Amino acid sequence: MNLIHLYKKDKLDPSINPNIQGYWVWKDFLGIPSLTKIGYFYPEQSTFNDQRIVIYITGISRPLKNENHEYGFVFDSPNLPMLTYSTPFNGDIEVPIDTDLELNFNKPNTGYAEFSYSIEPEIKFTIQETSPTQILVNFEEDLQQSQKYVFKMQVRSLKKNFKTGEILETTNFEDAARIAFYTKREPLIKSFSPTGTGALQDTDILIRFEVPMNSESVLEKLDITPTINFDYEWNERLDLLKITPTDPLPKDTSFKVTLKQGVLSKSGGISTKDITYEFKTIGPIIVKSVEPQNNSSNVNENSIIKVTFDQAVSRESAQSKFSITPNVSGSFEWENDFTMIFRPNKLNFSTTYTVKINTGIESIYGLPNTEEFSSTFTVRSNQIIIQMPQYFQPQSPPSFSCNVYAARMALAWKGYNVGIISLIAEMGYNDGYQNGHWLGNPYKEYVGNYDGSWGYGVYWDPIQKLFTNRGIQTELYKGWNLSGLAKAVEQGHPVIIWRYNGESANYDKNWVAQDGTYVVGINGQHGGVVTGFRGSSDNPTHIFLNDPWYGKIWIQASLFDYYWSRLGRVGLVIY
Amino acid sequence: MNNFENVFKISIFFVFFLFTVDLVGLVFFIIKRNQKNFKKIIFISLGLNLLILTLIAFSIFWSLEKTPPKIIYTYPDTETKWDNYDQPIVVEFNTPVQKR
Repeated sequence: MNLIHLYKKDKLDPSINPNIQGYWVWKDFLGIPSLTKIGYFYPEQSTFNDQRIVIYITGISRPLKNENHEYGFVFDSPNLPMLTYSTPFNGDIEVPIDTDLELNFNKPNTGYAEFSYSIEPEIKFTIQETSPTQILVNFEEDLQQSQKYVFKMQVRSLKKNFKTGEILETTNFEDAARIAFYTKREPLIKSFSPTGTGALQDTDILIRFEVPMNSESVLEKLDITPTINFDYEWNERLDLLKITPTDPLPKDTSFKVTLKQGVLSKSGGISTKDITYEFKTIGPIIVKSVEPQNNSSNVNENSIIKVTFDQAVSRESAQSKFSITPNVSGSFEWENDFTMIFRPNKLNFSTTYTVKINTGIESIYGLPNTEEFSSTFTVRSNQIIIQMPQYFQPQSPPSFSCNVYAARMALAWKGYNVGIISLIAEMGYNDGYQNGHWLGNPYKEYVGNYDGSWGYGVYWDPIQKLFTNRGIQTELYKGWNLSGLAKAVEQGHPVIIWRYNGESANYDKNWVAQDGTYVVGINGQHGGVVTGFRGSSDNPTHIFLNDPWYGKIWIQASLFDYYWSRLGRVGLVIY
Repeated sequence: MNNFENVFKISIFFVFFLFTVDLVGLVFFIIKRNQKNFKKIIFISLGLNLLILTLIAFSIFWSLEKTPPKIIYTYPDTETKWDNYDQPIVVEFNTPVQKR
């Protein structure tokens, strides 16, 4: 592949791949408006994080010269902020119940990453940004004692318009951190139930002590707010107190159970402070979660829609309040009274669906939901991708060995790890250059030098030989088509291709090799491996490449077909 | 020296220097009023001016020819990471190039 070439005059024309909206400013050279030496690109939108970006500039011409040089460079977009440490830390024990969770990041979140937080068991919290690299998770109430908590953080990348702040595209949420910690053990009390929200009206309150207790002392110091009438029962060991309300507990009500300081154990031990537990009785139904998550993209077309309620609900009622837009036929299943599954018959590719849960679902024990719930997700486009190792051709200094790197990736996929110099040596090379043309013959050898840092590249026959030498079956197609290419990939066979790179000045560059062979060549000759496609194999809409320059990229099928046609649509299928 | 920009800047300096010497010579000539060698002085000074300007022009064209354009600096540097979006992408060439 040729990064630099002399040819007819063209205008200074930079391109960015993947495309980033923005504008170039070329600074005048010594006040001369038609000349420049330095240019700035001001982006108007962000890109996804950790993405390879290729900038390629064509039409580079000195003053008073009629020429067209081309240069490119590659770099990666900014990283997502990463959690460096937290307080409490993962695995901490004896964490105070009035703690906050402090999260420290390696860099500020400048708005291009979105975090999602959750904690199990569930407890309400607010997020406070205390510094650009620090977030404080404030729990709205004290944590339960003697409890293991697992805090999870997920993150996704946002593509945003800088001016409007509009989110143009997002990635899926991915797990970013998991912090498990244990709160301090409660003195005297081993366990308490119920906890949290959703306690049933006829629930019993169970207090298990670590040691046998003085029952009179416990009852004397016991306080339940709001007040209820109850019966009680001790077990034989006097370490378990069961409190049974005589009337059903009121719905949607918070209760506080306190054992005031001075409670005596059977052996004479005494508690030194008040011990308080809280729970809330069942209230209106709340939709706890919907899968796929809200705003998910690239969702599998065979996904089920799973709605989890915070309490048992009437199945018929819940099904009647469920809707999906655009309408999809399907069937309902239930994991239990809390979890409803809608199994769509067919989700369409590249379609955004909105799931709605309307108000008025009947609860079995609690109250109907009072808030409508809505969630959207987008089904992935129809695509098949063969996972293949990715190798990049060197950029600094530049390498012209894309064809060899394409072969190297396919060989690695077959389990052979071979260096570029070895592969070039195996094919043979010719670094002759005379009168503006190479002397080598790419149909039989690598045209360029021994390490690929200069030259044109190599065509199909020498590349095929690399596979044959290792007993790998291949099949060479010339004058092929997109459907055949996609069908090979569909059957699990990657295809090495030769194409125009889409960046260089586009013109033919034929020459007669030293051995008399007439070589059909193009400026910007480039190699890669087709490892995927979108759409049906009969009519693919996009082609996926392991590209030694761009990395793993999608190219619109029609555009790819044109690039591919420049060297006769040649494909080497690797079996 | 084949750096076009340096040659260009040095050439500008020399042109100004030449202009200054011409100006000083002119003042000196007016003060002395040396009518006798008038034609000779004018002929020599014009000749020297022309020679120096020709050499400067030649240097500029020669350095232009000997300096193929290439990228000498980019932000972000190739194979590195774009730190943040507040910093624009920068491309700097070793020699001036045509915008269009």
